[in-house]
Amino acid sequence: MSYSDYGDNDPIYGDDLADEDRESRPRLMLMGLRRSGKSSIQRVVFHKMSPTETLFLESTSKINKDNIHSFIDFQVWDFPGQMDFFDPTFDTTAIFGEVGALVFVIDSQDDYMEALARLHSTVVAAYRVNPNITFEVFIHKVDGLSEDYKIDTQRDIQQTTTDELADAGLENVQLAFYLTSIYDHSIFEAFSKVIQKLIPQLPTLENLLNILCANSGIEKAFLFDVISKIYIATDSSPVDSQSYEICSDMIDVIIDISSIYGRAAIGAKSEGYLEDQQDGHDDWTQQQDDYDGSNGNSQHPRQGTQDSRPPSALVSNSSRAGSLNNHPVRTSDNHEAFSVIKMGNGTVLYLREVNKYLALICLLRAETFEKQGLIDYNVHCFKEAMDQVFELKRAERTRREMEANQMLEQQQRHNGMYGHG
Amino acid sequence: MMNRDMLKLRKDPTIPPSSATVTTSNTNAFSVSPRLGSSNADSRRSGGRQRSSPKGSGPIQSLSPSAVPSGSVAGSTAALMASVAAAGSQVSAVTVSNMMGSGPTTTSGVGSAASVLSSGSNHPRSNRQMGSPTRSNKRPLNNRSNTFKFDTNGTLWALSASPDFSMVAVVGRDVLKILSVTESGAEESVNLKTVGIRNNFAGSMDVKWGPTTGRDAKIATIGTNGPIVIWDVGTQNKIDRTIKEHTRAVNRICFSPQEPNLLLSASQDGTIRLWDLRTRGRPGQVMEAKDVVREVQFNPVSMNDIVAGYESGNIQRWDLRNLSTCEKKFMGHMGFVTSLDYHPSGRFLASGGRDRTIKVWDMEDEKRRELHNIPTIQYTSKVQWRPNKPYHLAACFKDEATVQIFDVRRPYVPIHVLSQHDKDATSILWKDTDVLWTVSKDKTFSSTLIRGLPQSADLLPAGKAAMNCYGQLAFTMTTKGGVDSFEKDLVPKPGRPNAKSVALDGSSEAMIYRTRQTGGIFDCEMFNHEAFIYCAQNYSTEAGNIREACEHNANIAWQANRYRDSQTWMAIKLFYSDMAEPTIVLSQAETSTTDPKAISSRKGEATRGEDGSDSDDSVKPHSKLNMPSLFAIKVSDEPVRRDWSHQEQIRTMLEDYAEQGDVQMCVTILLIQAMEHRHCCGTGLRRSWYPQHESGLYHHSHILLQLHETFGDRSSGFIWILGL
Repeated sequence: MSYSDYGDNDPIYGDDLADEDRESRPRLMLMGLRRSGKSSIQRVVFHKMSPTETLFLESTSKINKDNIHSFIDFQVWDFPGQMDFFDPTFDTTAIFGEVGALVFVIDSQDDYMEALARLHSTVVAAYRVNPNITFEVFIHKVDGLSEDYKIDTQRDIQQTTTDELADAGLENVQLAFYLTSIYDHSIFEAFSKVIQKLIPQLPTLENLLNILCANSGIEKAFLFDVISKIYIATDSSPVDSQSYEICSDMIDVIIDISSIYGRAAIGAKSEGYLEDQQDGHDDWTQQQDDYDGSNGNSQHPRQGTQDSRPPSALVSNSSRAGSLNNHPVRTSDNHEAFSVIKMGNGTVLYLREVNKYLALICLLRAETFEKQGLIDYNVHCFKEAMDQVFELKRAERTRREMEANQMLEQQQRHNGMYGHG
Repeated sequence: MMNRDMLKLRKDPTIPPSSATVTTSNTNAFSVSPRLGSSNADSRRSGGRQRSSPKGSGPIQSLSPSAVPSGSVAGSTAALMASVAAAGSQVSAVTVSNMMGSGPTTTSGVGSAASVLSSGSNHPRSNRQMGSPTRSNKRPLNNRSNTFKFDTNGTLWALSASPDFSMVAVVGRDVLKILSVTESGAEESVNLKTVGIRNNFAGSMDVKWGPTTGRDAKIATIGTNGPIVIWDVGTQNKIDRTIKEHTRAVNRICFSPQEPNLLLSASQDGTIRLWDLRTRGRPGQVMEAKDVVREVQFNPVSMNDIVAGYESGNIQRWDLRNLSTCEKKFMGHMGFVTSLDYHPSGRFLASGGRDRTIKVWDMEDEKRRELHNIPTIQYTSKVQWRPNKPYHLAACFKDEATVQIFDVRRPYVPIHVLSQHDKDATSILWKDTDVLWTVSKDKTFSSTLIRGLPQSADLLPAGKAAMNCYGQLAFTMTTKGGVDSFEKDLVPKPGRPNAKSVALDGSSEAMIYRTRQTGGIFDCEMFNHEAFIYCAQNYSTEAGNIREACEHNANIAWQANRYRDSQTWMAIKLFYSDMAEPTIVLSQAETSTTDPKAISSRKGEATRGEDGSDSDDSVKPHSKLNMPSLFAIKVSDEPVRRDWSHQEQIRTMLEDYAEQGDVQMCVTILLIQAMEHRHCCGTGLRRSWYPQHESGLYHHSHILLQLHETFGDRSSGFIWILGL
């Protein structure tokens, strides 16, 4: 029985979660036909599973709820493909009521007519319950398609879907389409755009980044969530895939380097091969540890021996984050990770830790970078502005965490009562 | 495979391989050997090219008149190689027709694709400087009006000209300037930066000059901190109005060409807003699509029609009389749309997107297919149709210094590649048909006269060739008919049979450029398994006599379609018969009358080989038999053998084969020779030249040994070579 593989591994936020908490925690639902790649996406994006390992994932038989603790906290619900929404026991109001985004995954390498019919019925059902939901369609597994075929597929899917919705009288429903694959950065980019829509502060962040770029001569700036490599904001200039990819790769490099030369490794200094000055990266090193944890976890279903161990790394992840949040923030202003990589083509990559979860990565020309002091100062101002924007939010979160901990205690008393069929 | 078939066809079945040598006279064979040496020397002199070619002109190809098939094949290969090296278009007609007959002919693709690459990266800079001689004679570069640069001391992002093109507003990260432009140059007229700084912004992302002139002149800019700023530049340079209604950054603004007070703004917040500048304080009308709007533009003909490009790659057409839903929506690009431009006719639309294409759409067509698709080197940051040239458009690209002008009918090669900037060109504007204004991150505003510039297509070599690892050679060349001319080579655009064809200039039939280049793929087979196995199984290394063995091997090679190898064997055989040759020649006068056997033996190697094989020692009895003279005795002497004159040829031959990696030939030749020398020469000679090859070939022979053990049944001989 694969129930416990990825089953209800979250005793903290069960169905009977307090309403107020639900409200503040946007929900992101992954839906689609079976074997379309939903669980793989979730594993690759949020748990750092290697794309090749996803072949071994078993099919999901039950709604899998996954709390993502990051800059903004949200829940990812991974639905089993064979779920029937028209089952009377299926509570559409409860499911779609508070959803932030609905991600529908279509396998582009398969015949997608059935998927389109399902998408249509899902959109109709969800829109009836909650018109504020944002619908995102991932045309998935496009790595196997040629360029021409990709655009034809997207055009076809997009046309069919919008026509059908128009026939159903839902012209106002906006679907966003993305071509994705877990084997490259496209899935991360698509998720970035999905998540950005869930961030109420996005316009402010974007504006701050615009000002930062304009005043520092930065060509492109990303605000990255370090763990998932999703960018939660960028300046308003178009994002080309190369800049995103290089920034995302830079995070990997920095994490790897800091896990080797970080302070955790006794006395080792990070001034090494890169022009890489790092201080106070103990937080990041811990995040690296976290990766290991989730990777290890990802192998459990294959081994099949660890079923009895209920709290997977997801829980340990959330509890760890929770415990960290209860600590005072350890990084002070002059103790934060930053890194500079100068590339051969005259471009400079400049990374600066913003807080525990976020890093600012800027792409700029080498000649602009001569005025590094100015850039440092501007980035400092940017961080202060961000702090102001999120101060309220953070205070609220700390309060919620404490409530959650209290609820955990209650939960443990009622253990065994959670879960649903 | 193709090559083999072709060779089979050419092989003359009436001439068996051995007869080729029967007709070879001895004098002829003599004349060959020095040529052989010289051709080898040639091939070594031309070093690099030979090495790169897997089948260079072999040393044996000129062996005898009857070696026509092999000669012409090797010759054609060589001709091709020459064309690879020269990258010229002069491939000989004979070779061409051969290959056209054999290879599948492809049209245009290869060469033009290759040319695009080079035109994009290498040529442009030289284009302007070199020019084509005829053109630059007519119009010297330094005398060109309308070609100048103006340095503004700041990175530039956008430009917009006043309706009469006497002034141009250029904006950038910290630049807000109005320049007055004449044919000879530009100078700064107004600097709005001081006013801007007072209002907390110093630069602008985009600028548009309103269609009004004189006292009503207005320009609109997008401030770096978000708002749209309307400037009154007619009377005094002041801010007329600031619009801050968009919740997120504004990406593009656009004035209506007909109604000077209407302004459109496209924003990150997913809306397009329409502003009437006469009504202050009234909020703009909103067109909402919940998708980041990258670009918006008015139709130049129909005033209520606007078109917008979105982050998702959608292109939408809106009617300003109905702002609730869009009139038409289609997917234009994979990834965001960066630039849109309505054709002056108002019917067609050019769009550039993240997928690195420029597409031309027919907005009146219900089909959602582009009319033209131009692949570009980077994504287009700005595209604009050329006035009065319905098929031409100019585009600049992200991270790319050059500006390219395309004819949509010829998508793969731009008409002109302008490289007046050192860094990314950020925006372009046509002043008129022949003058293009550009701004760039290198801080300059530049004006370029297009007329008279060399066409990039003229600078591209028409012939190209490239080889892949399977030994296939793809090539292109210009077909007969002289220099290609663009207008002459337009053909009707292929389409579905009943599809209505649409031409951008209003003519009845859509045309597309078809290059006169033709091309093909020539299969220069490098390794043939069947032939290898066949030869491995049948080559003889143990026949009693080296000439007999060579004869046998030549036959085998011929049967395996390895004509060159066959010729090599013949040559080796001649080298060895050559040992007795001096005696024959010198004593010819006496022997011709006295010994009829000798004459018969001269007629053919086969007969002589048989003679030789009768006895144990191949040479000694042979010469004795023919020449019971002083010379004959001398020949059979050890010192004379040591002077055997063909060591050098054999060595170069082996080196040549080793270089080509033909292990089979190398080792078989070695074995044959070893057999011969084991029979008839002392260890001194053997040692004298074997060690030189031993080191290089030992490795190969080891591999070959394994191969022979697999495929052939006579491995015993190969054990021996390891013992050398």
